[in-house]
Amino acid sequence: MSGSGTNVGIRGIGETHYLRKSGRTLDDLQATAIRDALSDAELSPSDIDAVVTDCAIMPLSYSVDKAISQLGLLNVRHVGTFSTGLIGLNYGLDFARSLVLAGKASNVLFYFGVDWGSATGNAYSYHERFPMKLHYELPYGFYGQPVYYATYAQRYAYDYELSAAELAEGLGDIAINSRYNASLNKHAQEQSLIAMDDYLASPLIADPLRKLDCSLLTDGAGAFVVSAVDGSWAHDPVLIRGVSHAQQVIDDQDFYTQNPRHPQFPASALCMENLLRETGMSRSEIDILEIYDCFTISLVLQLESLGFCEPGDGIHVGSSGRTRVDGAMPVNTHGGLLSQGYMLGMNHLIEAVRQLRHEAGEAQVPGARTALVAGAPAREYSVALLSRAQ
Amino acid sequence: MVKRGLRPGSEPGTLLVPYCGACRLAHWYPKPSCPYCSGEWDWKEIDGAGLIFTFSVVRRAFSAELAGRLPLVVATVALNAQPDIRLVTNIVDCGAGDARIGLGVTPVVEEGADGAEALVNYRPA
Repeated sequence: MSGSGTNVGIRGIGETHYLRKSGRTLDDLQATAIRDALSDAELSPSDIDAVVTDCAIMPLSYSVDKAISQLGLLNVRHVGTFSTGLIGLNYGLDFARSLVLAGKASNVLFYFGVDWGSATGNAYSYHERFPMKLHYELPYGFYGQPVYYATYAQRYAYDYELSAAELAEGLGDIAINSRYNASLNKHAQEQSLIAMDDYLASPLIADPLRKLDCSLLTDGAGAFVVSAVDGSWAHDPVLIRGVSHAQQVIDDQDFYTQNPRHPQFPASALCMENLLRETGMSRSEIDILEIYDCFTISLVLQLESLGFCEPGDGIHVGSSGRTRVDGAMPVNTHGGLLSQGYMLGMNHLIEAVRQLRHEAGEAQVPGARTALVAGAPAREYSVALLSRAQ
Repeated sequence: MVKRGLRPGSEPGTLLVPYCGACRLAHWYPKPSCPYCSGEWDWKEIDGAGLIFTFSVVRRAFSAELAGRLPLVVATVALNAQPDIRLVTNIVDCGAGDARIGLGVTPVVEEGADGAEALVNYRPA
């Protein structure tokens, strides 16, 4: 089936529970998530004719040949691997939609998983590949993403003349709301509620960021299937309404220290403008935001760059429970990377599908029709707009 | 060709940075050729005085070698001579609570132990 009248959407989803130490291999976790997605889609392995994942992390840990051989995907004719984590998974939605509309594929399997809860060094060591970091950053202890984003938070506070207390309160509210959302999510790694006292007692990692400002480290995996919508799906269809991607003109090695626009992400602003123009949507029509929350501060910065908060006002986004599932601006309804699990945004796509199917249970945002999935806070960025079919 | 850490110049208070004579501009991090004209560059001594652009006090070690150095003040310093150059460094001779964005700082060379290369840190001016 192909043609401009065809809608393409997400037909099946699967994800494991998210744990710090699962006691399972990544192979086991990932294969389970894929099987669950196929089952949810009511498809067989032989129905999958294309596979998509990221190209930075999965090729080294669970490459496409493993998915094909372990799951018996007999009919794969197209493979796409893109970027890192959510940046690539979001972009991959556009690739998958193109394949389906061109009649080249019927069912595109997406997968992503990590065992960084058990193998924690791997979350940081990725950065050791870069000579400039090795020579000019590592000797000085500028290493580990928490340090990068701590310097972002300091500069943000300076730029907007925030006191340490104001900064802590804003970041703390975001962490608190994230935990509240995760407490309603059955797969979440951290489900216990926290209050401001708990946030302020959380140990400092790199000033001003505390442990509760930082993403979890997690073992887990997710998968989903993209197909042309027909009347036979078991669940309410969730459509791919639009996808946009952008690049900032800067070397990846330079980005965290030499970004002329530090602490902002120009690529995120650029692709958001393109997405709204191409889909004809406005920000006010988006019911749910699933944003790459590797750190509380990165969420603040992205919400500003994406245009959902005024510059300097993003620090207040979590006040009065605003970003809770029952708040005025639900953000990361599953608890995100901060509280559900560090799945580099695969979990954000899966959560968006659950919400738009109206299958999120206690965490359901009432009447949710459209969700934005966006990430990551880096030199390249991808946004996807998903919506209910009707 | 690329050495570990910032390299001090022969004059006190100077650093070596990649410099393109045609553009009369330095760049950072060192690139294969001048990012402005694609021409060749040379190492040039430049006044190392600058201001803290941003910083953090690191309290947890993300690599084994950092464990004995905590708490560590990590900063990027924008050079007064060319402020788009931001050097990653450590702020020394300064209490962890005294570092702040906008603080004027100057380079201080830390000699390497047992023949290891010297490291350039920064201290309050």
